[in-house]
Amino acid sequence: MDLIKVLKSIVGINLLNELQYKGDFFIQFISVLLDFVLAILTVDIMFSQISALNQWNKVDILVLVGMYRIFVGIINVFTIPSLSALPGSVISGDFDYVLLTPVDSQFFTSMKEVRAWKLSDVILGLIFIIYIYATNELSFSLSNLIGALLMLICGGIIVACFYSIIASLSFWFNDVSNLLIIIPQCFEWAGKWPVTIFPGFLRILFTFLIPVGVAITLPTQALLNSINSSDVALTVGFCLLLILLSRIIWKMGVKRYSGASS
Amino acid sequence: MRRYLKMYRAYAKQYYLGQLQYKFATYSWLVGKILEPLIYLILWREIAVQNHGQVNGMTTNDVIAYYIILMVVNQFTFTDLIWKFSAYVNSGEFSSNLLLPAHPIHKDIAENIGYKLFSLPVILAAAIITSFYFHVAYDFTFSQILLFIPVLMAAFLFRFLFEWTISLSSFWFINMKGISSLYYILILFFSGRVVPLSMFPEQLQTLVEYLPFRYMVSYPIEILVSPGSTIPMGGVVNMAVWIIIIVFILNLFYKTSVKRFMGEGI
Repeated sequence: MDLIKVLKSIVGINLLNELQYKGDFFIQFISVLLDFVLAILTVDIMFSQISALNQWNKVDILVLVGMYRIFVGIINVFTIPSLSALPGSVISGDFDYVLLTPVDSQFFTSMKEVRAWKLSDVILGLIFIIYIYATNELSFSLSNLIGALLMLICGGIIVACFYSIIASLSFWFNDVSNLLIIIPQCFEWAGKWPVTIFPGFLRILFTFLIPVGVAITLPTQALLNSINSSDVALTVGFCLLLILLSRIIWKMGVKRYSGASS
Repeated sequence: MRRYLKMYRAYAKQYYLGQLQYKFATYSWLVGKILEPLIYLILWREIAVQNHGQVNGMTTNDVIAYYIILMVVNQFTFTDLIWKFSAYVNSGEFSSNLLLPAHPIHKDIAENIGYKLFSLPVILAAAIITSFYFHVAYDFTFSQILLFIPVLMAAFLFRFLFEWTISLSSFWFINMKGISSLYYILILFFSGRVVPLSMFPEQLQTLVEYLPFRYMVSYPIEILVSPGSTIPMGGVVNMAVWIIIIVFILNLFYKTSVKRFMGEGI
């Protein structure tokens, strides 16, 4: 249970650090609210002319907008801030300190930085979805909820592993920090819309290369309708495969690492 | 004048060469610049096709042309100032800009030009490929192009001055993340990158005419792709007024902000 102890102190330290910038937190909170308002407006304008977009109606898309926010919140708490720091620490040699700790290096690198206040995105997204459900008198069953939760967890793990693989590339290449900034941005562009809208090559890109579809579209589908068991099996399988792959690549990468400093 | 020209050329060239050095990084940034308009192009095209070839007064061809031109215009007027400026001020590197024998904005403009010299050809190539892929027909006249070019230049200047002014907040706040994300959301929506401004509800349309964001991206495109084929000339006046206002604010804000700067290190 050492890992939980480590995690607890990491959260504590980072919370103190983030609380320094209260004004900044407030402005970011306002931005998220504004983002919701503008998303509703966008969807309103889009659906003033048509009733459905590839079987997705207005309410479905709004639920997807909420799901997008929840997902972005989740990956911004641990994954993105922690792993984004890896290329820099490999170049400077600070990665030595990670290797010297008695904790698993991949675990430590992916959990090192915690932006606990990004959980506010998750809460806002949740409130938004409840609001949409309430105002449109939608109903859902327990199986919808469990399905959505399962898909969201799988999606989170898939993206975290994917992100870890990309970050591990810094053991081979000079600087991959740009890639690590662009991938979250792809979520922003593509994640707000159902991945099924995109034609051929983009759909493949957003499903496998940058797994927006699995991470955001699938949980939304699970919540709104229900997903078939083959989709669930496929996602869980993909998830396990990526965990294994990211672990192998990490181990290979760490072997290549040679401390640069001292 | 010749002194400035020399300075601009030197900084633009230096920045251009710097971009060439990190080709992988700069090209991967450009992927995003192409993807964003492409995603909205696909989305709005799909809606127009489902709605019998038109959406809110724009034909399918209009929508495609709008977003392809947007790809180029948005890159033409783009700056990364807010992020760069804050890093410069926090690290203390800004001191060297203050030591230049010219207003520090000139160095930033020159570097931005250097970046555009590198990136615009790539974006233009992407726009041409996209045009062929979607079989778009451009039907603007010579007079439209004649108006488009100066308006595009003015849009570049205006967006630059505006974002430079916002960047000056770095002298007041250590952490600019909140301000930059708020600004990003506003410009994304109100400059017509998500929804073309002509599709906005009526009350909002009058609002966007007075907001600054239209004159950074949307307005030059509206000149080339104007639904109903009446060129919206009224925007020229609003744009000119905004440029005058921003020059005034920039000067005032710069003078009060720069006094707060305290160089560290080196």
